[in-house]
Amino acid sequence: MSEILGRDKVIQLLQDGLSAATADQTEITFGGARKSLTRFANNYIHQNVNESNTSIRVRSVFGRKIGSASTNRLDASAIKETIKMAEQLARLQVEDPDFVSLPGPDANTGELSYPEPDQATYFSDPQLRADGAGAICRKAVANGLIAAGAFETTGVEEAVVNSLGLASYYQGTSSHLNTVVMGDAGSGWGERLSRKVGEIDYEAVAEEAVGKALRSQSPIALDPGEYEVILEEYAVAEMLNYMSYLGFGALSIQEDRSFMELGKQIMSPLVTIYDDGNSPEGIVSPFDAEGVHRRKVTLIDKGVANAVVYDSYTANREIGKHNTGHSSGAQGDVGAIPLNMFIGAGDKTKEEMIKSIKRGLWVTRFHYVNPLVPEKAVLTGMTRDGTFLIENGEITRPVKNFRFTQSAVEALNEVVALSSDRRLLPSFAFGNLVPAIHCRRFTFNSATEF
Amino acid sequence: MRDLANVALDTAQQKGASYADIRFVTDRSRNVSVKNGKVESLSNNESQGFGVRVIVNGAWGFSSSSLVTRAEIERVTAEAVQIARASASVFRQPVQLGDPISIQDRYVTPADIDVFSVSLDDQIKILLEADLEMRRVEGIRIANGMISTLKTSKIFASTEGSYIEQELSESGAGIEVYAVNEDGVQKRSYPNAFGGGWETGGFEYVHKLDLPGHARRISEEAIQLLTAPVCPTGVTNLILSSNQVALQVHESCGHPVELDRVMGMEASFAGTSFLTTEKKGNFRYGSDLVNVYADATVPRGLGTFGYDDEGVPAQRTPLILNGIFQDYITDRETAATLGQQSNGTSRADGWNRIPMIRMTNINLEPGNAGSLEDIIAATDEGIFMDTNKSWSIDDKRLNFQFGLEAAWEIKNGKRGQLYRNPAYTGMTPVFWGSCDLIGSRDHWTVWGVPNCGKGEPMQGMHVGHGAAPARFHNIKIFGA
Repeated sequence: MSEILGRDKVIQLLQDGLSAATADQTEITFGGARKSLTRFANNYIHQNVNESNTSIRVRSVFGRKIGSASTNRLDASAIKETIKMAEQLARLQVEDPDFVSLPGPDANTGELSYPEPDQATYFSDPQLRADGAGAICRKAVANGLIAAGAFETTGVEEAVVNSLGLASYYQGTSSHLNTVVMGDAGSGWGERLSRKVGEIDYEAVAEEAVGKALRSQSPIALDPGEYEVILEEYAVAEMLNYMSYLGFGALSIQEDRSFMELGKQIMSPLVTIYDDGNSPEGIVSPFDAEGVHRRKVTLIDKGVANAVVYDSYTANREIGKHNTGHSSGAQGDVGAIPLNMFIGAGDKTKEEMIKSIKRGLWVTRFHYVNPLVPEKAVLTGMTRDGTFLIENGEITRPVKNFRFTQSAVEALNEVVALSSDRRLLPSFAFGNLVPAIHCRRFTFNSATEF
Repeated sequence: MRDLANVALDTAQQKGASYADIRFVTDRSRNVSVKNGKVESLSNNESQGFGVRVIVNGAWGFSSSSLVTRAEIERVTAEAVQIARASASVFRQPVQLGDPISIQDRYVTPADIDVFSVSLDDQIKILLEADLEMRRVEGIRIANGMISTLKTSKIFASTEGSYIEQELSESGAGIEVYAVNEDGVQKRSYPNAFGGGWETGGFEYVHKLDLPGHARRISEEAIQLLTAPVCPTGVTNLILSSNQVALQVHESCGHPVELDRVMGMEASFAGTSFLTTEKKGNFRYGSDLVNVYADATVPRGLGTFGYDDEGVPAQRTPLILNGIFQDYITDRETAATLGQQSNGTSRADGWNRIPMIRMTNINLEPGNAGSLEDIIAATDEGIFMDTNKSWSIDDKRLNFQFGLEAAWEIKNGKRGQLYRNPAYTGMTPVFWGSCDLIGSRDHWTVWGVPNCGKGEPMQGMHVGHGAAPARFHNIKIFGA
């Protein structure tokens, strides 16, 4: 499928499907996507791919029994077969006492408002992506370096209808570019995310990554231990992503495995974190996997654990809680999660943050992060693509990469400054807008050879 | 489907492609999961489509679609050619694929019980029985169980004359429990964490696992872990369960030997590899006991198939022999750069992804140290760690750190104190150099790993690792 079907056609397709359903409640979700990605390495394009796909997912409910089925065929007979399969599965189910209902139309108030999809991004020209890759490769070659990276464009068309009368539809776009630029002994990173491919400044990305790669050559070895650090936006966004599913969803609270102690000061008063799927500063995704409009939720308010996000299932399990429109559609331990997070900006420039440090580390980004103690948000991972020693208020030397093992909550409790500039970077599905942060303490427990 | 395949191959050649292939893929899966006595999810999924790969002016282009019609195949093929022309505007050397390959064949995964022949009712019964057993132990907060069954139908056709049909089937199942107190959350899993155990073949694998028979044990251990002391810090003899040896092989042997990583093609995402090409044939990777093969032919391995997604036959390739690094896993393009032929490891995660080098079954060959209990009995002092909880490794695959679900002190050949939150860390060649005991073939299992990630866009892959329990000396351990 290479065309955008449009609201009327998609909603009609799903309503036709609903008319064939026999369950007490039925939900049909449509996803259409056109994704293109150009990958480069060793200063040339080595992969260049395009994908047009659709998906139909059906949830059927008999009483408190739920079954689901999916297909990527769009013809009427395939949709009817998928509904039939979901209903068969639902009948096999045992009752789920915690299930109350699919969300009704009253879950949403008012019309959705979202930016028009960017046509240049939705139907991106492969030559435009090649031009971006080429600019980075040429800059790398001119400096005796090697570039690798990926330039991606995505256009999506999504809709959810259910038999209670809920109907949500939107179109959206995003574009993402990343690059690592490598020398013999050190590398640099650059990355951008935007709703529009035309706003991706690939020359600036090349400048940033090449500059950092040149400064990263011949790193010194330092002992692992506790360091004062500045975490650049890339590192902050990575840490935040893991926090999103470890503790910012209601299910993790309900199952006693969240780091969130609601009402308690768990982070620095400088830290405020909120989720807002409708903010034009992010990658807008106006409703969740159940078609419920996303509400703005302040997760951390000046360091205090303020709230978590809900879907219909987890909201119905707690008295007085409301669905915040954060269903991930995933089963199991995930539940509702925030995917459009913002950390409030600070008032410092990065230069001012560096000047305030007598001896510390500048960390560009993290690699291969994984939770070690999930309920305390203890994460481990490596530094990568630009780790530097700060001495007497100046970046002095590149440093060989460290492994960190550190609670993300405790790191955010040690924040003494945040940058006034923020950068939009990928979340697990959309985007997070984050500043760089200055932490008094951060634990590195081993080092590697490069 | 031959006619539709020819539409793509003819269109590509007419538009100037020097090489083209098309893959038609249909994936079907059924998933059942239970949680705390109720069926958490019951789903049936299918995805079908095709992908066309072309070389034009020496550069790659790929496009794909879920709509399988003649007109769409023509459109997508033309798009792939257009993309290849854009690739050619930023390229260094023309792609070389080595000798042409022309094979006509059909491969079907051997299976005793068709994975889709077992009713969902029967699958739910297995899981609810295990769930009941898990929750019989007081204090269990969450009990989970899952069974997944999958079938993939593939057709591969190329301008070199290949036409290969494959019908692959596999199944996975597992259970896990969580216990919670004021000190934290403790987890135990069977037969493995993060998705359970997986094999190609039929539903007989799920029956063999006997999930209900292991349910009570993991619950009792989770409860015991709540009050166990945190694993001490130190340097000691480390004995690993075979499922953890499998993951250690995955991260510190399987990924470093991927030749596309070595050549920098994954640099911006998953990283590169310390295993640069001058090390081939001479680098000491591990002790003399360490023998590792890539084997896509081993029965029931999750990385077992007939042909890879470039139409290259499944193979068994020595990677490390007596501790010395021998060879990489390759696809046609990377093998040609070393003057070799592909050893058949190029696979794609579905019709909408381009094939790339993926692990097949990367197996640490068995030793002669007997069972886990034999290895423990042969150890005066050390620690035994069981089943993975966390993993991380640097972008050249040197510095790694693993967290595990449980550990036991080993003293005078016997298990002693239970520890919670154990972890160990090391550097790849030093770690494998310290391997001094590997269990025997009777205690060797080909573990399925259903969640190997690589590439942009991200491609998940199902791979396998033959492993037995093993011992390593002078390893840094600590408690998280």
